[in-house]
Amino acid sequence: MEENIREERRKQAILARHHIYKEKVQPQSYVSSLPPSEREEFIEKQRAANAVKLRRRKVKSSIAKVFGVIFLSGAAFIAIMPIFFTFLNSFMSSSEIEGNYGVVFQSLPGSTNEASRFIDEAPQLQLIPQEVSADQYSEILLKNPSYLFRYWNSILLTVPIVIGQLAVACMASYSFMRYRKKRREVLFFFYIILMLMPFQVTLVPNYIMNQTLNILDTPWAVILPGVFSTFSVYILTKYMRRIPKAYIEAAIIDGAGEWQIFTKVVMPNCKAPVAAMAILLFIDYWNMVEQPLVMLQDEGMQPLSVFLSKVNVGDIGLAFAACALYMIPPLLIFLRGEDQLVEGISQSGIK
Amino acid sequence: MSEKTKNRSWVTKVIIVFVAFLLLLTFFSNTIMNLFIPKVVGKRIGGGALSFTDKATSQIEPVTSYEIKCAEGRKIETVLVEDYDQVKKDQVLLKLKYRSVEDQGVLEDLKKDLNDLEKESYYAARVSQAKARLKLAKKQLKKNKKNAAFKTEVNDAKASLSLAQKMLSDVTGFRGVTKNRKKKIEEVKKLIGEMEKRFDIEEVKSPADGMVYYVQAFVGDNTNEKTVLMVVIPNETEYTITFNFSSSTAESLDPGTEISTDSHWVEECTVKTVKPDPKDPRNMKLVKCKVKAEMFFPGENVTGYIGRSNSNYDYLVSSGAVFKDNNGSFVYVIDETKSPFGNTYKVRRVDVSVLATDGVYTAISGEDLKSKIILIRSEAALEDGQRVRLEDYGAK
Repeated sequence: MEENIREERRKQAILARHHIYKEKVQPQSYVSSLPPSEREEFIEKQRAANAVKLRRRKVKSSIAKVFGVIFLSGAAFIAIMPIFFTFLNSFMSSSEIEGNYGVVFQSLPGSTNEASRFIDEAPQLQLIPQEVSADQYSEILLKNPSYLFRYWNSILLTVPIVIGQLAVACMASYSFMRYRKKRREVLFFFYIILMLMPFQVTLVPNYIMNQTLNILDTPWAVILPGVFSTFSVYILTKYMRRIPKAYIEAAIIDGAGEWQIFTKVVMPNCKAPVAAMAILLFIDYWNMVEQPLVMLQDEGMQPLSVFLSKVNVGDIGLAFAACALYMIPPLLIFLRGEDQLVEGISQSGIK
Repeated sequence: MSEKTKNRSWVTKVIIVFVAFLLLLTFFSNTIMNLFIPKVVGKRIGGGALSFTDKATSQIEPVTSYEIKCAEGRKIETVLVEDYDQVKKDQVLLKLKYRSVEDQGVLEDLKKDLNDLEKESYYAARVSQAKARLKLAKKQLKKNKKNAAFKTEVNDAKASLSLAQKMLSDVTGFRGVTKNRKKKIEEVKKLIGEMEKRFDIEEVKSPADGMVYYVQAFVGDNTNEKTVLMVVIPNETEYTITFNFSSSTAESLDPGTEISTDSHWVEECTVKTVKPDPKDPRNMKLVKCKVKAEMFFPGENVTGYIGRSNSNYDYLVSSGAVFKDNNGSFVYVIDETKSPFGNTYKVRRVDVSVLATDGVYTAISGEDLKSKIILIRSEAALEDGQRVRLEDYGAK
């Protein structure tokens, strides 16, 4: 069938080249077979029917749109509510928080009452403070040096991991992109396997490795496994493989070495995914809990993320301010690299 | 791709400011915390026996003593004795300066006044006599007007009166006629006598054999009739100490009970009388004790101790940990709260009753304080519920 159509097209093309136009005989349809008066009537009827259908479709799409907007607004509200809640409640006084939510925290094991008990009254969720107060912030920033020390612990663990992992990932991805031999593909496959493994699976080997290297209970126990994580290698490799080979070949013809190709050709093309990875890695490692919890026994070395789960123990009045301050660095990093993040995600297909 | 990218340089600035702020805050974090949170010393409360000893401090006083005073207005030339010197009867204690030029001037003025007063008195008497003579002569002349002798007598009497009046007016010309002249003369005479007597004193002597104490005389001082220059305590006198004990403590004391003291010299201190203290008769008692000693030093502070039986108490705290205000006695309990940022400590006021004290430790009762940390010392005034840091907080 396809052959016939192709033959027909070929013939028409030959005729066209010779400026010969042969009118194609159109097959007779139901409408064309009708007499003109009936045809008009038929067309009118169809037009009216189509108009009704169109109207229905419009109404349906409007209703769907309204429901969609309501659903998405609800979802957005649910997503953004805790953040608003945290920020607004951080300006409540400690006594107000205790009055509103004390019942929730008292019911938890390890509370100040040192015992669990049933919640016999509902907590009062309040967005607007009765009296705006900066007590929580002054208490946590001026009277709790350990909070600041742990803040720095978080920064000093996260920043080296992000920088180290990106450095390693860029070079590893370049090698995977440039030399696609069988053995390297097998190695890359292992990278993918490692990436797919949940963190908890590699936790024990990591622990044993750290113990062997005698770096347990030091920041290196968290930083080194983080630096050699495989996720960004996979993403950057996938991205780099989409860079046209012609660029690299042109650079080779111009006499560029591997380092020059890497720094002058490949990396400038990878700015967006590297920035996106940096943001994602920062947010990921800023919130890490298991690694420091297992690798760092000394509480003084653990980052803030470990303590946020326990921040309501003892003095619940500080929980909201502690969380609000904790959110600032990821928020700033995200705001700084928002454009690169969107661009990087769209280019490299990061989910 | 062709979308316009927003200017994000402000975010970079915010990040730099945030990190700088965080750095500064961290650097000064301990300093700021130390400014806001006072350092305290706490100790876990415990029970135990308290051998509480009541004590009171008072001075050794002689039963009899001579207060040495001196006549008014003399200047001390030499003080020959010091506190606790032994003196014999009539031994010179201090010497006074001989009358001064000023003193002599005052005395001479007084004598001149006396002389004037006496002259005035004499001429006043002569005036009265002349008046009487004149009156009599006039009377006689009235009866026998032709008698020339009477006329002469009247004239003589008049002349005598005018002379006496002139003399009187010469004497009283400056100050007028003195009223109560006789009394005044007596007073001036007495004053002169006293002054001469006073000015004749040149030494102050001891009235008895004994010990000199409370020497308040210093070279160059002017004497005063009321001022005690020193005290001479006769050798044969007894010595006593009067302690002020609480009524509950004094319950165990009877006349003859011996009280231990901290004085090396006191050999025996025996209760003589127990009387209510007039200032607080219900709660306090004055315990007067007779003292026997190798050597006595009047005015020496002696502390008397009355030991009482030992008792066991549930809560014993350092006496410095018990505070007092209008609502009564209280202690500060340091509540420890475990938080992810380390242990935090807050003080909580707990009203207590003081059961007994030995000065160092105090037995208290109140709410259940078992195994609580009690505040012993604080570097700043505290309020109920205030956050504090223990002295070894930094180490934690």
